[in-house]
Amino acid sequence: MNYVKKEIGAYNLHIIKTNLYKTITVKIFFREKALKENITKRNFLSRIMMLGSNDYRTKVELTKAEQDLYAANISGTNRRIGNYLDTGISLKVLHDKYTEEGNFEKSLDLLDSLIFNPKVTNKAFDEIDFNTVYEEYKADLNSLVENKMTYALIKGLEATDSKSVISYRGIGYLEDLEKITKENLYDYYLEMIKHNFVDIFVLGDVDEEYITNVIREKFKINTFKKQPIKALVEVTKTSRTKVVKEKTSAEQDNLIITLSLNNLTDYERNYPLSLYNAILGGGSESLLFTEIREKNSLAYYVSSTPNKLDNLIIIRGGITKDKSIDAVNIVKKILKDLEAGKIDDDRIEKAKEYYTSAIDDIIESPFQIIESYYMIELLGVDDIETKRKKMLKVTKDEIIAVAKKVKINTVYILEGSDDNGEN
Amino acid sequence: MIMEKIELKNVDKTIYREVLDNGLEIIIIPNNEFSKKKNYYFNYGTYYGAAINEFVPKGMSKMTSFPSGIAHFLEHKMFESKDGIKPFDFYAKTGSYVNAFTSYKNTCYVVTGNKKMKENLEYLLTFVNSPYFTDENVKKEQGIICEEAAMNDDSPDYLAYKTINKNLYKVSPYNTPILGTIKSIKEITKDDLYKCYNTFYRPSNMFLVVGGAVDPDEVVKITTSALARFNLERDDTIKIKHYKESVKVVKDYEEIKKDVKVEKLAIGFKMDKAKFPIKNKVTLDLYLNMLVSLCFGASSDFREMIRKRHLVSRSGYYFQDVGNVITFMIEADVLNYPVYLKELENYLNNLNVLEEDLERIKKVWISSEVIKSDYADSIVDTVVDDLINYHKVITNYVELIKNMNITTMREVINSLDFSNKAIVRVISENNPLQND
Repeated sequence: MNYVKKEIGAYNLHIIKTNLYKTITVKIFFREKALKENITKRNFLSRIMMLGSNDYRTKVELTKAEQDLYAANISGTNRRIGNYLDTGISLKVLHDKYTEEGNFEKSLDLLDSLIFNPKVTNKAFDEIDFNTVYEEYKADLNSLVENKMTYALIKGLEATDSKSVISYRGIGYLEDLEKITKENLYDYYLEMIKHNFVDIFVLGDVDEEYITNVIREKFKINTFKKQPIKALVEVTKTSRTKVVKEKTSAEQDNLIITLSLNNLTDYERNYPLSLYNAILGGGSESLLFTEIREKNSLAYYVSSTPNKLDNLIIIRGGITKDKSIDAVNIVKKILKDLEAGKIDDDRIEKAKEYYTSAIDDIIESPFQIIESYYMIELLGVDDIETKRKKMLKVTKDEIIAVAKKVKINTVYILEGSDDNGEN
Repeated sequence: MIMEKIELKNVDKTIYREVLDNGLEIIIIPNNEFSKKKNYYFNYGTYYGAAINEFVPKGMSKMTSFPSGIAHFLEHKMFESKDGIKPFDFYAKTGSYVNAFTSYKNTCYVVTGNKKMKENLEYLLTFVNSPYFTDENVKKEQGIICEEAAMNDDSPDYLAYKTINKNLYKVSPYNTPILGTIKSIKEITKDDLYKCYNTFYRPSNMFLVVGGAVDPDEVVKITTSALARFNLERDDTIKIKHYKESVKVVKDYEEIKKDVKVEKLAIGFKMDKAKFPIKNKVTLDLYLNMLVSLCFGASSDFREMIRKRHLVSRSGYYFQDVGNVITFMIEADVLNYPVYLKELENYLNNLNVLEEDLERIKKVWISSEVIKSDYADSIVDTVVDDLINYHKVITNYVELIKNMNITTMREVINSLDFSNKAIVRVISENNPLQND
């Protein structure tokens, strides 16, 4: 694998040359400062852009064009990374040597058309497409409450700090959807194309010079250079633990516990924290899983995830009805034990093994490879081999030091009950 | 060691096959030599799943019926061991992943990792061959599985799916969820579990599929010696009850009131498998999947129409094979039920496909086979699916796809019968007249 980065005026081009795949993968990232009011618009935009363009007037036409290019696949995703909103639009297509000469360039043209030639007339998106996306998106937002796990997570984060970026709903907001028009959506599109930070990745058995030329020629992006913002979110401070309960008609409780991470150093965030979380609730051998599920049969699923850039760990579990408080008490005991240094060396070793296996897993997918280089670009984290070395050197004391900086912020329980929550 | 070596045609892959003396079939798909990838994937499975609930237990003579959900329960219980070491803990030591899945037809134990291949394979073969059930650990598991069932029941999509199966099938175990019911889960005993285990967890009723960074000879060697300790004999006589399902549905319409904002709809059209013109199951499946892709995929006019007219916000279409019947299933989030249903029925009764569209999807499928060959996990999954569905590995998919033609496709379409259907709607309890 050979990696080069080139600064091409308004954007960075990253070329990863490898013969591990028969495909070429192209991924374009657009990112900007995370503002709550833009989340819904941005999701809307991704959806409408994937429906067609001026060259491919309907989804049917677009799909047929992708199929004709030997199953070229184009998709878009949105997410928040700390203080950034990040949109990735990707193309995966077989290398020309498995198809026919020119197939890759035609696929790039298709991608280019979807991004830079949207179906717009009189400075507004196409009305039929707009209404289609509007109705589908509205149905999805309405259905949100039906998935108790997702709903509990949203409410748990809002209970933690409804003003902070940590609580922003990735899926968007119904009230914001209602404000979107086909005109202001186009304004936002222009804003994104002109002002976002852009990184383009190309991965495959490709020639560096050829890729540089072809990308330069097809993707004429002219964004204004701006100062990068800090991706890391300020810690959500809390003096004492908040407990919030809500009832819903459900067969089980959904429990969310947020843990604040106070004053972590960059090193702690990137290394000991990962091990701390793996020990706490990273997998099926973690303390949460062992104590809550295996020993007390209170749950089918329970785990923890570190949102490193949000200075937060989130614990989630589907708990036996009326038993959430028991589960919370078990969590408190586990956290206290970790803080007191009651950590078996064996668990630390396992957490390290887990991490090094994950590193070796990266080359199993072109998207994982691209993601790891993107994180180096975006967050300035260490490269893969440095990560491996540093992680293996983390000591027990360093993990305990992190444990001492972890505080329960909020306990949110979506209580299952036989009644309808709204009555 | 001389193993059977089979080229996967047109996708530059070789697979190895070996059947041990005890009857275990082993399929190995190694990475190409130059690959730097380190991951390996094991899938150790038994031809025993939730749809096999009545059989003659090993060593007995009478057909016996077992509580629903026992295959899945057994899968959970295999993670228990006498020495107290859990497979989860064992695999965590090398940062590897272990899990298991139960479907109606089979139960599979999977391991993924990139370190200590030998030890991890040995351990997989060991723990799946070492049942340890006690009254206490059965009771504990009942708590966990009832939570899993409760979690599923909280999803309206699942509720629609569960109910449509209940209303479609009269005798087939497909009428009950894989997990069973809270009641049946609580009926399961240690003895039941041993009976099921002893009958189906035998090498001659199992397979091992291995892919990724492995050496075929080594895999066979490890497996042979790991299993030698268990004194497993070949035995091909398992008597399972076969169900004959009527083409008539049990209940043709049901409404469920629930706290939903968008209506959930499930429809099943039950058909007699004998009426299809293709008798080869592999070929029939290819044509049915092609039909779904052509008539209901992203490139179909029907999908474009229901999208533009805001009839559904999402919908999925597939065929379900249930012994002597085949069911065409639809699951959707519906925005306008009466109009969607009318348009759907109209469309189904006038299905037509064009040759150019068929040829285009063939090209897509062939390309997808080539793309898939880069991913050891996908190849393992495909091989496992082949074994489950056809009891053999299909090595010439590209050729089979190339042979597909419009004449046969039209014959398949003509044999479809949409006259026996069941409908389940999960609708809002606050606004029962929604959309009508």
